[in-house]
Amino acid sequence: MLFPPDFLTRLEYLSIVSKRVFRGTLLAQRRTRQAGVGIEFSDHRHYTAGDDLRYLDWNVYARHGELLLKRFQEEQDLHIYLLLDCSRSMTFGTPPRFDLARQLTAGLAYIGLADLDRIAVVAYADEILAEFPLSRGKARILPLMQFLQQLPATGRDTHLTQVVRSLLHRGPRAGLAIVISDLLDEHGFRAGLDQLRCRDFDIHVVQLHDPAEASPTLLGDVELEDLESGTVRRVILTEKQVRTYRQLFGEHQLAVKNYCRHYGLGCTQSDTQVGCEELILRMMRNAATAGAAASPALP
Amino acid sequence: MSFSLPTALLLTALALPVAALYLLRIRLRRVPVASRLFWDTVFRDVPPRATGRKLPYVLSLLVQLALLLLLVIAAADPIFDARLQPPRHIVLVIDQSASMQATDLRPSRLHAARAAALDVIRSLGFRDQCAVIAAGSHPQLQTGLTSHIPTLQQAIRRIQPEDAPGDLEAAVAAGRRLLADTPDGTLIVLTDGCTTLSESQTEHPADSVARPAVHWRLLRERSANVGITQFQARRSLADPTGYEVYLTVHNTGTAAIRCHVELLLNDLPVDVLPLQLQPGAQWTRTLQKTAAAGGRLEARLTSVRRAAPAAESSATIAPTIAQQDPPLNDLAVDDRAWAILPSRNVRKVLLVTPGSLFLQQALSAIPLVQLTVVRELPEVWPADTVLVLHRQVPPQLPPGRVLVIDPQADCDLWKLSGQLTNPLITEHQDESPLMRQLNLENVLLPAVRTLQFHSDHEVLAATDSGAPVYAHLERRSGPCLVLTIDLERSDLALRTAFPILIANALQWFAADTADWRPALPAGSQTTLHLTDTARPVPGALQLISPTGVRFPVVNPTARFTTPPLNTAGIWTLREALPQTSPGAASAAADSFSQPDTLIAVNLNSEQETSLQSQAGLETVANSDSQRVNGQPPHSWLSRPLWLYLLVAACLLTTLEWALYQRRVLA
Repeated sequence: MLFPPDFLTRLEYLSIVSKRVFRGTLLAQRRTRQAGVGIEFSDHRHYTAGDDLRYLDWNVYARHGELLLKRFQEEQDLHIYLLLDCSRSMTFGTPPRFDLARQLTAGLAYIGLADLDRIAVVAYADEILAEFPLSRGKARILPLMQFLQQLPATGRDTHLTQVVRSLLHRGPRAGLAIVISDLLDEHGFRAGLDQLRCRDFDIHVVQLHDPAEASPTLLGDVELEDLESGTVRRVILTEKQVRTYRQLFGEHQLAVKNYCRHYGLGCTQSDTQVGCEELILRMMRNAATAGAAASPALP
Repeated sequence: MSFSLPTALLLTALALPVAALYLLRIRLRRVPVASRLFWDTVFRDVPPRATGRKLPYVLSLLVQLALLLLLVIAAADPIFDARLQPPRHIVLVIDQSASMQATDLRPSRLHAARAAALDVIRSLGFRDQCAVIAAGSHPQLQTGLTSHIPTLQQAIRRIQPEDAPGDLEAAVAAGRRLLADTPDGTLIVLTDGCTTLSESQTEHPADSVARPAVHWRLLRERSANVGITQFQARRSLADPTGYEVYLTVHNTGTAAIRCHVELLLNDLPVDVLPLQLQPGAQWTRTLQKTAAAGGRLEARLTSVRRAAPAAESSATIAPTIAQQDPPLNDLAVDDRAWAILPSRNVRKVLLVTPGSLFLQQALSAIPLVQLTVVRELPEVWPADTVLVLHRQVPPQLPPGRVLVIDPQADCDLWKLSGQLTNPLITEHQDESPLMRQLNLENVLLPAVRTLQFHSDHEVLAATDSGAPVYAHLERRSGPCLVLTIDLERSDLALRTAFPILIANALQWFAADTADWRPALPAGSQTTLHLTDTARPVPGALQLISPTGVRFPVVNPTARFTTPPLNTAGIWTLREALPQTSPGAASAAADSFSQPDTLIAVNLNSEQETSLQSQAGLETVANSDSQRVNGQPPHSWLSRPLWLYLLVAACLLTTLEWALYQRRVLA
């Protein structure tokens, strides 16, 4: 069962833990970088003629004789975009990692909804296959779960770049983009993430893999069937070739990690043996130990 | 080549499914992978299934077909022509008689016979069977019909030469009995032919009616030997200390020889006789010698050399290499002979008598008797003295060896119970050594005292009414004989029986056997009478061969028959004394420990000494040798071929395994 009866109870627990233990460092308390009319002091700027003198920082003027205006942060609800890979490669493994991905999507969505953020789920493969529109409030969790439950993993290709381009064409407000995928994209994962980065999205990558995928135990004459494309290749596997495969897989994992670290993106890599709650908690710990998310660049 | 199960060849049809499976290529395992992204990188430079990589598959197919072919042929059990021959049953009779020790074939004829037997064993196929019989004085089956080569080899190597003539006829008969159920069996006799066979045995195998026929294999080169064929010794009938030696020496070679015959008594030289014998000559002598002591008499043939021809001068001609002496004496066992010379010991006799000339003369007439006559029994007398009491009987008979004649008083062993008038002696213990060569039946006995014995006694002679006249009384302190005849009133003293009776009694007391024990021919058996002396039959005996081999004899009876005495020399029959605690035996008992009984055994066979084959046997053997030697030896191909096919199949299985591993792990 994808969402067992106690799933929501567990999600509620996760939501509380997220707020109280990790102080919302995971999702909803990420501040937008929008300066506005909030009450919380954000920054100074030089006075120019015509500015409102009510915001002049008289203390600074008294001390230093400089005319500086206070800037305030405007708290806005967070837009969270959950990009869920629905290609057929997500059906690999026992149980399929697509189930974990959907559970994770539901869990993260619930945490966001519980914090009055807006969440949207974009199911993609080589294009956007389905969408759960931006929604707010806990009441939306059930429809979301229904949506996820009915979501098939039938994509015959993975093209994150194209999907992100399509998404950004709609002009969504920048927010948090969580990509939940195996990142087995022959077109590359970097271009798509770069686009999101350039559009000031906070990105968190969740990469799922199966242990058998990381360390195959195949030997001898086999036919390798690509789950996504359906193509078959007859090969004679030797131990040397299996070792080469493991090395390539490990390099790919490392490349993702290094990319995310380089650009300050959140990155969680896990195999499917880890449960959904444990994975979310791990994400919270990683976010807490990494400090606050990179401060949004002020426009 | 043929097949014992040709229908198994139909299994060759299994090659079709083997080839079909190869052609159909069992569907490969289809493994789903999330993405071929990395696998394509791995196989980017390697064609997925290059043509060259198909080679192990083709080779594997060939190996599998070859494996199937080997198994099918093995199942069909191919047979080569050699195996079509029926299995052979062979009995090997190996002569182990004395002549087989001859050294004309180095190291000996028996060694050559064993080597020939081992050759026959080596030629046996896996279905052939063989038995081995050792033809000595008494043929012995070493091993029954078997195909186990190590057992046969061990049986052959176990055969040792005897010093006795062999009984080949009995051995051949035993061999025929073994092959009774196999009329096509083969009986091979390995011998030198120095034996006596019946005419039927010397028939050519092809002419012989008896089955299986005997194939003779003679093993000899020459017959150059000189040996002692007769040697006996006995005491002189006239001279108590003299003895006579009968000796025969035979030169069976083709050259005149000189030699010495040494006579030794108890290893001390007695005489040395130089001899010169022409080829085929026989020298016989009876020698008179003197020696009171007895013991082991030995004759030795020494210094055998070629005698110079009469026309040659010993000073002028030096022998060239070609003229060097050929071997003259190929058999050593007949160079020595033995005989046992009975000893002549002085016997002390103390006669206590009121006066009896007849008795006194009878005792004095016995050679080597030292007689002392007294009227009354002394208090002490020398040890080892036979006490003869005439009429006087003390109440307690003294210990030791005692002969009582005409007792006139009671004693601890008997009581006088009356008198018989004119009895007739009708009972006679002829088998007793005391009664040897005696006849008391016609002795006039006006009166005979009757005695009532208090202890166990053996009646040697008795009257018609059963009254003992002459008896042997058992007692712990020493043997006792009692003769109840009145010498003065009967005519016993006037008869020749009387001195014989006295001599028998003294001899019996001294534990000397009167019988001359001649030297026996090797291989014979003899019966010993263990009750011929005053000493009791021992509880355990040991028969010791000249080479020191001991044969225990447990619970011997009065008559003991020896096993075949197959070794020349002196055999000893010795009492195996048990351990006794100190002081347990009396002094009298100590003096009665059993001395050794010596038996001389010699080869004493003209046939064996001659080293020559029986006439006719050589002809049969020569005409038959081609047939015996012409038997095609069985080769390793006679073993079941399926065995080798299975071994080859195992090797191919190993190769197929290696090919499989290479495909997987290359």
